[in-house]
Amino acid sequence: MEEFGPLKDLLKAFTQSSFTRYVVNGDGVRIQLRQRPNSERRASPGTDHPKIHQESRPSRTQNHEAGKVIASPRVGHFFPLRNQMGELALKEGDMVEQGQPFGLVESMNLKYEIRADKSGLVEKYLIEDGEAVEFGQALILLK
Amino acid sequence: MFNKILIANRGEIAVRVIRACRELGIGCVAVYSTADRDALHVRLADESVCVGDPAPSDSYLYIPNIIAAAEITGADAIHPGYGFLSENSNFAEICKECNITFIGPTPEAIDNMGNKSQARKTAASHGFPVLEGSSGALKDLADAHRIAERAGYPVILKAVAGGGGKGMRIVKSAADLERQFNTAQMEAKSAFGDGSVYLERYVGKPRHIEVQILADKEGNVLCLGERECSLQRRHQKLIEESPSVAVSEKDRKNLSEWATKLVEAVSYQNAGTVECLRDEKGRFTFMEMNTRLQVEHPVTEMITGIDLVKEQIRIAAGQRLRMKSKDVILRGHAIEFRINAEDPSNNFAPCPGLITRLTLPLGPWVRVDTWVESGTEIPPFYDSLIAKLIVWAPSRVEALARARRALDEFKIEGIKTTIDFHREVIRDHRFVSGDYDTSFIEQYLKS
Repeated sequence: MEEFGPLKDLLKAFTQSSFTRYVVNGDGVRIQLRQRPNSERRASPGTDHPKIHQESRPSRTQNHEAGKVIASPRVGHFFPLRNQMGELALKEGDMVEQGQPFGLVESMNLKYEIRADKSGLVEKYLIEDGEAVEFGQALILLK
Repeated sequence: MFNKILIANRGEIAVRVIRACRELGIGCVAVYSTADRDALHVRLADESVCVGDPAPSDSYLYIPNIIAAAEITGADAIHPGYGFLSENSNFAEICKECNITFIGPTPEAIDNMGNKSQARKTAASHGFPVLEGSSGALKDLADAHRIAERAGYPVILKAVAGGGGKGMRIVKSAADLERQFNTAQMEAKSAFGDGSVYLERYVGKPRHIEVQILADKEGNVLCLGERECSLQRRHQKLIEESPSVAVSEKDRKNLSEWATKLVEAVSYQNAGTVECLRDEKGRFTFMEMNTRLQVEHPVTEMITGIDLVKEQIRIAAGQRLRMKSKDVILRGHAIEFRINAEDPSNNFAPCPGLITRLTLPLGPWVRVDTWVESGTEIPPFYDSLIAKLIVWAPSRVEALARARRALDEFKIEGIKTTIDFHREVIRDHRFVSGDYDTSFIEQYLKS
């Protein structure tokens, strides 16, 4: 098992980092690491309560016109669909058709396929791979 | 203790639970539907997660998104409040499977007590008086005659499958039984597709009295006195008070003993309420047990000084109750008024809409549990409860004076509410005297 030593070191460094995704390509080997974002959601709770009476809490969707985004129909962690090479199945600049699957939302150890609720040209993803999403949160901005 | 609690509810009870979390130093997560984006509970919580569209079945009742919200925020417990998922044993079971503590009884206890006929049998077998009657559906007319004789006339026939008065018949004497039995069966058949009816002693001038209990995981039980909830309209409580003028010290002791025995017998945990009927002769019988926090819990809090929501959280976290029933002191008198967005002059029709101006009553021993402010838009999708006014005073007479004062101060403009209705009711001599029963509000509305 000696040859896994460097891989273990890499895993350790990765889990201690703030990166959510790390990809290594080379010599016909591709290593892709992903972890859930180490955001405030994981912060040790009960330590600070900064948001009392915060006026007009920023909504994750409010900066986008409803007609120009594809929103999440579920709550969970979002993962975009990838092909066998690990590339995004739907990339920025691609056309997306209504009903086309483009990602998964995972919750309760189940994965739910997410399909586009409208067609359009993908301008950009508004969310990181593996990031938590709420209902109605904008996932993809369309041109 | 928990690190973070998700509150699977909205409105005043979500705000109530968030306040308890804050005082305990526990993080809190609000969930909300798209209709509640700007609601107070969302603003008060540390974090919030939108869980669906306005219809309750798409959001506050949609278990996958509620559990997912707990997962993505790292909440280790869920408080269900009342209503919505609070008495859903399936939800409690799913929480368990997902390693999230459901702040409430076990799924088994919810099921055992949720089955009303089963709960009644359990109560009876542990010495809690129940209404004499058939233990299930009547076999035939002869069966009805035999059981009616034993229970004593008048008796009432009720549909096994039903509720809401359908298939319900009061029988004054044996001579009347055959006709009423046939009618009840026909009504039950047409309303519920099941003609079976049961029979029990008819309770004249019934008062709805309920007992609050807390039980920890080690089997310690705390009984926190009764609440008088007879002021109801169509089974919706409007005013609650504690203590009840119809409960003597001896009654209170009996109720406490019966409730404690029942709770111990079913190994019940967390907060629960044992609902009883008191008849005109002062006899108490078991009705059902509610396996959750009640809307009217503040009146108990006011006379005991015990924060029921914090106790629920402590119990769910495995802590032991810190006192015994004999150490509970019931002090003074508390009354709660439910302020609903309803129009009493139009058959209490719900009145959603924009609150243009809100003036809350303040001053000594006045508590308001609410989620609305000036500028709040009441959505039409949910319960019409917008606030609870609770007053405390050393005696009932003083509590009534304080209630009158507070209700006079309470102003909500823009929508119709039940405030003025309460102002009238508490000036009625029957309410002032305490000599009322569950028919009072209907009679009052007719007069």
